[in-house]
Amino acid sequence: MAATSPLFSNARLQSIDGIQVALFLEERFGVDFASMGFEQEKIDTVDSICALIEESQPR
Amino acid sequence: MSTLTGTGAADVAVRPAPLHAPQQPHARFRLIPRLETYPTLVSFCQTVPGKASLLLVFGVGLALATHLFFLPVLLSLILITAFPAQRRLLVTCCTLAFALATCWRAGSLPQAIDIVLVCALAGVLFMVAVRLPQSPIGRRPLVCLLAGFMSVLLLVSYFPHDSRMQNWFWGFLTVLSGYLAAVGYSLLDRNSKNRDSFALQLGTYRPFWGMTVIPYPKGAAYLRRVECKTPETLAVSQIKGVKLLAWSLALLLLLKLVVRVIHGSLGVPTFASLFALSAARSPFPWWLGWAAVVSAFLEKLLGISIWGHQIIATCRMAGFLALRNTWRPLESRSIAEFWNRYIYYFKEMLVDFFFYPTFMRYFKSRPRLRLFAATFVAACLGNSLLHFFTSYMDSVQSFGLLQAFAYFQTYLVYSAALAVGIGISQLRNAKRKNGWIRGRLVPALCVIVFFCVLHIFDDDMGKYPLGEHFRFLANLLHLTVW
Repeated sequence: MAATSPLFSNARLQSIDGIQVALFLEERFGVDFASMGFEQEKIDTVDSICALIEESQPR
Repeated sequence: MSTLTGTGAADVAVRPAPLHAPQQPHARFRLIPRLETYPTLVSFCQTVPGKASLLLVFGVGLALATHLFFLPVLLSLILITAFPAQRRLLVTCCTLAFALATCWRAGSLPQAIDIVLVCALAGVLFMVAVRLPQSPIGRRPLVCLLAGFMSVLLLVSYFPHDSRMQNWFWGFLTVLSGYLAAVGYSLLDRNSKNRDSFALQLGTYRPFWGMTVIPYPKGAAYLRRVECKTPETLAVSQIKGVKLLAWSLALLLLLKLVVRVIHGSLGVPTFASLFALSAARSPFPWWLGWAAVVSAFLEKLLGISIWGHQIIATCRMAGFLALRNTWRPLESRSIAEFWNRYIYYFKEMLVDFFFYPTFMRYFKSRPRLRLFAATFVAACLGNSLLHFFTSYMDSVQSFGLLQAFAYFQTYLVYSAALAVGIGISQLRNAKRKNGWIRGRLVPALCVIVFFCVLHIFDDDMGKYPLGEHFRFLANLLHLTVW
């Protein structure tokens, strides 16, 4: 599996697993999905998750 | 960290298999071998004769499966296969052509005009959502869409009955209801970095491979992720498309056999006829009721599998390696898992439209309530709303909004029971027991019994009052005094 390999669109993870990922990002990195909106696409690859974390960090 | 955990099993078996995977000596038996893992075949299917062969085989299968429209679908696939670089644009063109051709074939110019107006309205909403992100549509597009639809529905129901204006609006709302979910997915795509233009979004509005109210498969964002980017992945996708169509034909034969044996040879009445007997207060044996319910459940399962497979098979032939809509549902060990395996894209739509937004916003300090509430909003409220909007326009027009709601109460009970079942199943997240009987058979039987009982209330046409459904259930439990 590569950093660009899809996690949800090829069934590695299910929707409920997306919740766990979202919760982890909320609690560990303070990502606020309530304000930015949550779409699976935002966490579908390791790269996109990293980009999301960087975007959420205070500048 | 929340204690929430997943249901365990994979969604559907569409992982791209490595082309050079070694044959395992005790591999599970497959009726249709994993042709997409044969390197020679994959190489051949990247050539012009190979693609032509695939399209020919698929065309024959489609003709056997559908009898109707297979030629226009096949022509669309040929076009898309010939010009892969313009795939998305061609999908849009074919989708719009199909929509308008369907209206032309039915001789319905007003419907064609309504489709154009729906697309125009969707374009305006999309533009507002993209350009004005702080507006209500930009921040909460789905809430605006559904609330707006409900408001117009309410308003139109108070127009002078059978007036020209009311009739026109009913026609428009009926067409719009068929596109609601697709428009919703477009609006959800508004913040994506690789967001498609509205022209490409239109290709997801009841695409030519499956013109249904549920977007198959999902929206533009999903299509971007599953689109084949290389000739090799396209060949794999098209081989899987042919295989899936072949599997749907095998299931179609099985369905015909099941119907012939159960209703023909064994003489088990259909669920509908037995329900009518129950409503007419005619007694029947409780075990016959169970036989009818179980057979109705199996027939519906097969029917949805066949229909979903045909749509996804065509989608794969068009170059999108989408997941199957149904994958081994009878292997499910929990209610939540069954719901995931049985009708994947409807479930995903409820998750994307209702579950995620609710989960991300409410009850953050109470994990179990957070999960249950989000599940209930998706599986009950969202499920009911979308069914009402897509199936009840005629009832609202004929009987008025309040009476239509009264007819809808059976489906409300169904969706509430379903939501509670899924919610409890997710919260329990029972540990898997060892052994085939305790680990697989008993859980699978419990799930099947739940959905068989639930099937009694799966009536989104409101043909019988709610009480009749409870009467039928009581008959099954041998509780009724005739």
